[in-house]
Amino acid sequence: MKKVLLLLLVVLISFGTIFAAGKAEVDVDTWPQEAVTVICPWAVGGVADIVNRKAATYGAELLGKPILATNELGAGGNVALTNFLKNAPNSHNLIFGGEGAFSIAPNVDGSDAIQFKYGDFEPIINLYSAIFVLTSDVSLDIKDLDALKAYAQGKKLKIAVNGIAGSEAFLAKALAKDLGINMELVSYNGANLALDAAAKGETEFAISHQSQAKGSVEGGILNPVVVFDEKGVNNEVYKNVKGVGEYGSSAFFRNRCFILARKGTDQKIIDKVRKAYLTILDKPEMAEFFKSMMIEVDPMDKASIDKHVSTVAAIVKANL
Amino acid sequence: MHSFLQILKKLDTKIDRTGERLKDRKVNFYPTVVGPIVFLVFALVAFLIMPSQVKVQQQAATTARTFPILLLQIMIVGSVALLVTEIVKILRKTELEVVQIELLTEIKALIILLMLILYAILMPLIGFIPSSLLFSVAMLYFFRIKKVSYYLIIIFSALVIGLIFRYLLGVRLP
Amino acid sequence: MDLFIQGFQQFFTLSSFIYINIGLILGLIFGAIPGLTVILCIVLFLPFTYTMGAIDSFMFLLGIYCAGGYGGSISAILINTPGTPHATATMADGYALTKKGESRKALNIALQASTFGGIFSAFTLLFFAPQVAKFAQKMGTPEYFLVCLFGLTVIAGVSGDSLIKGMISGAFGLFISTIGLDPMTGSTRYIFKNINLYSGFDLIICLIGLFALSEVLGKSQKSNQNTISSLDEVKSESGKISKMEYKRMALPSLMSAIIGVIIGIIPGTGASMASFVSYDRARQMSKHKEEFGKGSVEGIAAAETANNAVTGATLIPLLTMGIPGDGAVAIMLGALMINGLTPGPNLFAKHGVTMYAIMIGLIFVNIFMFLQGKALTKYFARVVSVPVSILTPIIVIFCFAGAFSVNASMFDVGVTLVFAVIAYLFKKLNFSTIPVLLGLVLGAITEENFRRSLILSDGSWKIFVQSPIAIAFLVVIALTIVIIGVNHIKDSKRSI
Repeated sequence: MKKVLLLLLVVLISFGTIFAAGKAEVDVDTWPQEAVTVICPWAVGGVADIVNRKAATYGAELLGKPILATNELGAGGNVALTNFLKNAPNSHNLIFGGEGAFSIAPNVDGSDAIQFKYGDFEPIINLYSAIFVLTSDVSLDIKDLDALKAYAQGKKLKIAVNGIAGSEAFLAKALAKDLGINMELVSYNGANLALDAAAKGETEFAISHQSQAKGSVEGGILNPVVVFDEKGVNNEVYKNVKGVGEYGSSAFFRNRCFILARKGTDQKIIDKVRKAYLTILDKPEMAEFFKSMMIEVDPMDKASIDKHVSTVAAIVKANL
Repeated sequence: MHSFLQILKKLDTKIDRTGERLKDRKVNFYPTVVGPIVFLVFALVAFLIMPSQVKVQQQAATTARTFPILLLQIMIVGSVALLVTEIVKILRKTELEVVQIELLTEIKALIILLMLILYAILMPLIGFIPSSLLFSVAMLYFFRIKKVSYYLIIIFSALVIGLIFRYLLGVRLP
Repeated sequence: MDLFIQGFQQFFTLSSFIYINIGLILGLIFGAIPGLTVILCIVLFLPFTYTMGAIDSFMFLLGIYCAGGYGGSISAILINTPGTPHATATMADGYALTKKGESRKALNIALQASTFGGIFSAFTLLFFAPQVAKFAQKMGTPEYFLVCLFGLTVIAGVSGDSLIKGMISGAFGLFISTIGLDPMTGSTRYIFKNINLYSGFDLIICLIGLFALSEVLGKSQKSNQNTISSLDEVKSESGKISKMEYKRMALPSLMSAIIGVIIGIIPGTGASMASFVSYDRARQMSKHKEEFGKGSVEGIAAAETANNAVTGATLIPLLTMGIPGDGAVAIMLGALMINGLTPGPNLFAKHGVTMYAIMIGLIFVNIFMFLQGKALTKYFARVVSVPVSILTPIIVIFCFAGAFSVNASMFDVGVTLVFAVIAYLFKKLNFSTIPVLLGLVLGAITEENFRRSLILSDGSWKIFVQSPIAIAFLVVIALTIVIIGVNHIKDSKRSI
């Protein structure tokens, strides 16, 4: 018994000393003093997660200390962003954020549970942007907005979206308002199921990322109608698909993913991280991955990220 | 160290005596009556707070409240049905189902629960591995284990599990 | 045929075999240990696959996925705690056999049934994927709802002594599943302004509380503190399954394999529903109904066949339409995309060789699963000879580590404790906790598909009778309810 107690004591004390060490004052000039953790608040295996993990492999090379890519899930990223507030400025933890958390969540039901605001964070760099696309059941033979408008006369359209309060839902509402058409959103649990619903003819349309609809468009079971961007796209899968901007509508924004630090973080640190990620985004391996996922390198700075957040918020508020 | 062991020994005898005293204490308990009442109360409270907890946005065929209401209704109807059969039994003076609850067992369950709660509270404060060590030793003490070898095995296991998790698997632990 | 041979050649490499076996052993460990889950395992090891090729990474993930389907049964049988949600149906009968000193037999049945189910679905994938995909495309939201409704009738079968009590428990589980964001309108429900409740309760977290930690609380009872068998007793048990028992298990296993495949192709349902439905079917059909819950070999065989028969079937909608049926498969979708394989109608045309390699690989995954299981069964069985005082704290450590690491959240650890107390109270009040789990499994998808159907039909209930498949499901549901009613009346007459 005595030996046991002694052993336990020794083990506990040794752990105590390990934990007591460290946690010194952060020196801005020599930051990072330890590994930098970048938290992805979304699912493992998703685009943001893969970008995070691929980028992390260059950490030691560019920052002098490794980057640890982790995930913290819950409430569409809002749990991680809430917990992130515990970090002090200049901390070694950084987090991903997007318009979902800062433009949509504060304006929909459940906002009273959200304790963070965009101002609590310091945006460093946007990593990529993805364009949303409206697709239609191929049997309807609708390939552009004019055909859609003609089809919608005197009808209530059904559009499948991923989640009733997601980016896709607000884009759909904003577009319907601009076109003056009658439509109803049908919420599915995931973009894949929404696309499948349109492919089966359960709904007439679906909205998703370009990459998510890629398989169905290539397979000839969905037609791309329009992309939610200022200009159109023209690539292997989506050939000459116009953007809603070209029809005079302002109902568009892209899905973005930016790195955030805690508010009050020193500009030197921000510049250092930004510079590192700019180099990472230039790597050929990243370019190849971005191409296969149909996303674009889009290294926006603080001013343009601010603008993005407020633009999306305005669209959301106008379409509640 | 020595005096600490003596305190432990004293504690041991004290626990043994308390256990002995409580051993045959039993409480009569009517699960067939208490059960439905518990669910009835749960469902009624859930109904009561629904207006503040579930907002209805539009008038459609079904709303966010449709399913919760239906489920609470099933619970209420079910509980009332069970209660009625019990009341009929009371009126007919047939015997109700009685379970004798051993007080000692319930107190022990409460002690385990307290240990679990303490473990959960300590985890973020002193770290996963130290709190796991404390918990597993406490658990062995709870089972009144005297064999030193058991304590060594459990300390070793807790350490190994913690280290594998943290370093081999890279799991984030508090 | 050319593709088949080329695919076989692509698959038949040393690295495929190594990754299959590493995946299997990891899946087995994570599936078997209460608190650790298959999803956690995939999440932890996924980053390693980012640098592997398509076939290797898929073999590795399939190894984890399939072994996880079987692994959960090990702890369900040996320590009355399901390692995975879908092993819950195996628990009652498996643990009953363990208490009789036949744990190795139970483990053997579970392994053989799992392998049979897995190979059945692997062959379905290999030879009938296009036909099954066509059938799957005919099912839409209303059909999904009817399947869920059918799943809910299983509650009657797992209610224990009283149908009403089972319904109350089931309604409780379903109610818990409504907490969080309402997917159809975006309203929050019972979240008490707590961001952690925003997405509701994670099934895995609830499972840890309901079955693993509540079992720990049950250790307060003196009779639960004894170790079941000594090491010598375990070693001396042969674990042989008799010819008679094989005969009894044959039909239920085949039925369960078919049920597993059908449920597997429906997104969002998964292995838990398949194992419960199959278990219930087997009980209804059996000549030895009274044995169910008390160590029925048919019960174990049915549940375990079904939850592995799901594995190959979920790959059909994934590969043909890009629709992931459950969380684990959703991650596999990511693994495909990284390697430039876009699921969809063109996947087989564009990457036929790789697809055949994967489908053939799945058969080998199951064969290796059997071999690994066979080699390890005798060691697993020794768990029952570990003193309870040592096993219990270790289980708690795993549960807490597992509960925390799923979402890196202390809140989740708290949730498991609350569910442990709920389950403990349920037991004291003579209510079964299995309907609660069924409610949690089926709650969200039942409600979602029901309400989505009515949105699609603009409120018309006719949508539920508009396709032959829907009508067929309705007939089955009606028949099931009639049978439940008749049995209920018979039972109550008998008891008077």
